[in-house]
Amino acid sequence: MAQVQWSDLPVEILHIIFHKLKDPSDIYRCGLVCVLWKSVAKTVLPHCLLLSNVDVFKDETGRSHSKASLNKQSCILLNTQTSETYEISLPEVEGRWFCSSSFGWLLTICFKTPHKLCLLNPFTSDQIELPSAREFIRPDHLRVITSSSPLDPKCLVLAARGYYGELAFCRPGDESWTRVQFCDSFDCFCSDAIFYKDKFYAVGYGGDLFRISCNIIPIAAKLPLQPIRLAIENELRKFNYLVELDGNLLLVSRYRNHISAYVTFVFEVYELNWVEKRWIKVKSIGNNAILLGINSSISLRVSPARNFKANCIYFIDDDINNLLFMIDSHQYHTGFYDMVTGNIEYLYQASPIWTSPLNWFIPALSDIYREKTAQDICRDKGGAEETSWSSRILTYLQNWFTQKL
Amino acid sequence: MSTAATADASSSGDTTEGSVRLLTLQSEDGEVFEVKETIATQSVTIKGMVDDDCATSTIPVCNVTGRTLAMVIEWWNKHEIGAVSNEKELKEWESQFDTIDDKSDRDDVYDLLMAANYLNIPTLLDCCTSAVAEAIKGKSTDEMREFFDIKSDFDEKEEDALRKENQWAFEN
Repeated sequence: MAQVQWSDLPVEILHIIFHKLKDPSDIYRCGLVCVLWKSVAKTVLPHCLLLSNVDVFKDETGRSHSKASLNKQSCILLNTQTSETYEISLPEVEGRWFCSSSFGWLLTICFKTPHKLCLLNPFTSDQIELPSAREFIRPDHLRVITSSSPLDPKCLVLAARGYYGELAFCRPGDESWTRVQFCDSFDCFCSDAIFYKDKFYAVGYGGDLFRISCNIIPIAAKLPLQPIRLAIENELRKFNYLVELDGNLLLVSRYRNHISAYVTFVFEVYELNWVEKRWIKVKSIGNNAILLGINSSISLRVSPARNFKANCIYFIDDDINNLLFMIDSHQYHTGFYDMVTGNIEYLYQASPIWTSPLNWFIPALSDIYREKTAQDICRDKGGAEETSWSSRILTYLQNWFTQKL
Repeated sequence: MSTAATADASSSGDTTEGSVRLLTLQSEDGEVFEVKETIATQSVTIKGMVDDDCATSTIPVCNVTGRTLAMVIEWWNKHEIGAVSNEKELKEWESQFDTIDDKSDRDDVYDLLMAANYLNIPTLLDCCTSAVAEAIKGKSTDEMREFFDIKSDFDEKEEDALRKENQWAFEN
C-alpha cells in the first residue's frame, strides 16, 4: 500500500482545499505548516478590508466624536473578492482602537492613557509592544509602518499622523518614541509614508518628498525635486499617497471637492524620475491596480484570481477626519477610479459598517511559526493586564533567542 | 459490488456484457477489475482514453492500489445515473467520507484524493477535498501538523528570505 504522506499532497489538490476554507485565519494557519503549504496559501489568502473600531457618532448638538467599542473582542475583515465578512476573535483588542499596520499586522492602541501600543498579528496572536502613545496628540489617528515583520529584531518602526502629520521613530524594545527632525523645511506635516528600498519616505500635503534616516536622531531630509505643477487648484482638498509599482516610487494625489461633501472626484499619478529629480505624470498603470490607504497603499498585478480591475485606483474611506465631517455620506468614499475613462464607480454603498475608517488588510505570511509556549497559551484566557505581561516575556524571550542564534 | 476480480487473462480486455462494453483496469499491485465503460468514464482520464480508442487492452492504473481502486469503483457505481433513487440517499452514503478524525478514515481519504486526482474524477475530488477542508477548520498550526503528521521544514535561511519579502511580492 502506498505511503500516506500528507506533506506530499499535490499543489493542485492543496489549491482546491484552501479555496474551500472561507475563513482567512484558517488559510493563514495552513500557510505556517510547511514550506509547500505556505507557497499555496500565499496565493489563496484574500485581500481584505479591515474595519477599524474608531467609531464615529454625532451627539445631540450635531457635533461628531470618535470612540472605541470598548467591549469588542474581535475584528471584522471583508473579503474584497467575495464581499463576505469574517469576524476574528481577538481578546487582545478589548478596550483598544486598532488599525492595520505593515506585513499583515495590526496596530492596537489602548483607549486609556497612557495609550499603550502593540503590534498584533491577528491570526497567530503574536504581540510586540511599542512605546506608549502618551506624547501623541491624537492617539486614535495614529498609524504605524514597519520595515519588516515586527518579529524581526532589526525591525524599524515609523509612526505617522499622531502628531497631526508629524513623524516619530522607534525600534521594538525602545522606552519611548523619538521625534523625527525636519531639516530645510517648514512643511513638516506629512500625509503619507512608505518603506521603499530600505528607507522610509514621507510626502507632505504640498507634494514635498522626505527621506528619513533612522539614526540616533532621526532626520527627514527634503529631496531636491522640481515641484509638481498642479493640474487642478483651489477649492479642493488634496491628499497625497506614496506607493511602489514595479520597483518605482509613485505619488498619487486624491482630490476631494470641498463644496459637494468632500466627494473624491479625480486622481493624479506621478512617478519619481531619480535622475532628472522630478515627478513625471503617469497616464496609465497598465495591467496593475493600486489600492490606496493611509500608510498602507499597495500596487498589484491584476490576475483572474483577484477581483480587481486593471488600470484602476481603488480608494477607501481611510481618514477619520473625513468621517468626522461627513458622517452621513460615506458611500461616496469607497470605490475605484478608472485611469482610462476617468470615471469613478462606488463600491459597497449599502454597507452599514462605514461608521469607522477602513484599512486595506493584506495578510502577508511573512512570519515563521514557532510552537507556542505555555505563556502564550494562557494569554488567550487572561485579561488585559496578563496580556501585556506575557507578551513582554515573549518579546524578551524572542530577542534573547535571536541573539543566541 | 460488481467488481469481482475476474482475471480473464486470455481476453483482450475489451469484452461486452449485453450491449455494455466492459473495461479492464489493473491496479498498481496487480489486481484486475472489470468495469462497465459507462461507469468508468466518470473518470475524465479514462474517458479520454476511450474517446481516443486507447482503452482496448488492460488499462494500468498506476499509483492506485487495488484496495483504493475498489473504493473508487464503488463510488462510480453509486454515482451512476439511476443507481441511487434519490439525492438524499446519495448524500447519506457520501457522508461516510465527511469526517476523517480516525487515522484509518484519514488514510482512506488520502488514497482516494490521490486516485481522484490521477484519474480526474471531479465528484470524488470535490467530496474528499471538502472533508479535508472541514478537518482543517478551526485547527491551530500545531494541531494540523499533528493531525496530518507533517514536519515543519522551515529553516533559518528561508526565514531570512521571508523577512526581506515585501507584502506585495505575493501577487503574481
